[in-house]
Amino acid sequence: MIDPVVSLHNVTKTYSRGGTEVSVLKDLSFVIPAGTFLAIMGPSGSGKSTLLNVMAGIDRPTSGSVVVAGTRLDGLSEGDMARWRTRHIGYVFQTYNLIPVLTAAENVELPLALTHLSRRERADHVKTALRLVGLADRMDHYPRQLSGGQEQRVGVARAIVSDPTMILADEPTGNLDRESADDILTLLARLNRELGKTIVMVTHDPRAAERAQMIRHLEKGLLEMPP
Amino acid sequence: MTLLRLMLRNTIRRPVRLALTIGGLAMVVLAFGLLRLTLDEWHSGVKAAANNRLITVHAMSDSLQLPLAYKERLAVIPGVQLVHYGNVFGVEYRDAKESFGAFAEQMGTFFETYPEILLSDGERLALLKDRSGCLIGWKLAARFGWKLGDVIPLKGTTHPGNWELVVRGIFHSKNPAIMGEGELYMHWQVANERLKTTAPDRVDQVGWYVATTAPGANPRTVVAAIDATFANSFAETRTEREQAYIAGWVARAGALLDALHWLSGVMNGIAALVLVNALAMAVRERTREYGVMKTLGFQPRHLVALVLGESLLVALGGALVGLALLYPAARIYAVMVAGGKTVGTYEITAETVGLCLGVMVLVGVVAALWPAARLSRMTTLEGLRHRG
Repeated sequence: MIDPVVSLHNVTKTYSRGGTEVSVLKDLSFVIPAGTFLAIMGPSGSGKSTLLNVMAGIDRPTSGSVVVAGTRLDGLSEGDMARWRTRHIGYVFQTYNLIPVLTAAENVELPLALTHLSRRERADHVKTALRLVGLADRMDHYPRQLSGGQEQRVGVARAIVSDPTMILADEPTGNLDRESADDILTLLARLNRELGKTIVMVTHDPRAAERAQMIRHLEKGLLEMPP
Repeated sequence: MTLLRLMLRNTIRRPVRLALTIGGLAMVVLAFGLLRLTLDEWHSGVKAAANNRLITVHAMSDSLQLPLAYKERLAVIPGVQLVHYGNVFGVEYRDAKESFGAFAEQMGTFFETYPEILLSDGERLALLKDRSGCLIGWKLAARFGWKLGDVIPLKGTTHPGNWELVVRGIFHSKNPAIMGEGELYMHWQVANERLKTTAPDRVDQVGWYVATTAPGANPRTVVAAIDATFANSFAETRTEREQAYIAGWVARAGALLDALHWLSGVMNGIAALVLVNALAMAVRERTREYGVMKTLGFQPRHLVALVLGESLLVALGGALVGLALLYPAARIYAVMVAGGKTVGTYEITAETVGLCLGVMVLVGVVAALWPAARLSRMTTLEGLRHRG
């Protein structure tokens, strides 16, 4: 049995809205083995993004335990959580979230500012990451000079540049046309297949989910288990 | 390096806003600098005063007169090397708006008492020979276009009547804080003789004595000896070293100076508010980006450093532009002030430059506190969910 990268045990998440308690995640328990490309599907408000944020250490569960890459997250402080995230998590956003005043290469380099790599090593990592996503010729372009698909590829390069344990993608194709979306999904599948990266992708698009090895449905905070 | 680049690019991200903010700060620095120059000018006399000159005035008030007869008694006090005296000689040229500082001085001791005066031997001799002659500072000459030999028609205010004085010397000063270059000096004897017909009760009186101490004499001892000499007389004296005397005048303007100091503080408060406003806007617009950075693993201290660095860059930008404007503005200011009674030097010292820069650094730090505190408290999720 392959060691799990993610292990959730009785995780619940509850928000208080206008004095009413809303349960977003209800007693979730599951594991994600290393090297898996998992798609989590579900309608809007089903708790997909919350689940992803809990796994990324961006949000904390109300109860239950979350162990990712061998670290139990619920006991970490904000600072320790940020340091942990630098080493283990690459995050791909739906809206790319590139820094507009930095070039593609500088955006990709950003997470490396937190490492002890030399300038030359950082430059090598950035080149490799951008080459992997097919944007070696767009290094000096600013986000406004790139198409949506290219921006998302820069986002993917930024997520993989520090060689994290796991890539979390929140609706990575949600803002893209079909062709660009296919490019991104092909890229994620390649990263999983060729580099063995564990990828968890949240999506409501069945065609996107089909590209994953495994699909799980989240409905009203409950994860549908395979038959 | 990436963070430094990000800080620099964030700073110039909104060029119009940046220009307006720097412009606003520069105006504050300019006003603050001019205020400091004014305060420095007030205090410059104290710093520049001679150690060997003692000023003796009436103990009751500077405006009361002392008898000329005190001169002989002063001259024999141990430690006194030279005794000089003078009076205010209030005048108007053409009209009341064109007045300036004028004094009636005992010319026989004037140049020895005030070696700050730079004048050619020929002009000095001409002045001493001509009792209707006068000496003017080069700034006053420049103000009215007067040349050597010109006859200046004046209307006396402290010494009634019309006066016609001939320009016999135009001087520069080694120490304008003490010997102003925008003033006029005439013979005391001439002013005194006119009083015999216009105001006989004021004849043979002087406004002040200046006693130069002998080398090696202890000024404190001499000061005490002078006042002791005239104790219990009908016109008791108050003697001070020149520095203390000028400091006394500055202290008498204490309320005004206090107000100017307060005004300096208010200006810096305005600068901080201008910068806080600009920074708060910028941070609000970039909240989502900061959330993304936190997702990537950046800590609150990194974000605080970005905001603080940006704040300091803008503040220093404002300081540099303000200082660049201060140099020409100080010259214009000095000319404008010359329209009044005195012509100031208004020199921008390293201390003023350092103070302006230091204050702006402080403003930069203070202005960054609130936006930085907001960022520190912000969770990653709040940052990512922010809609600008």
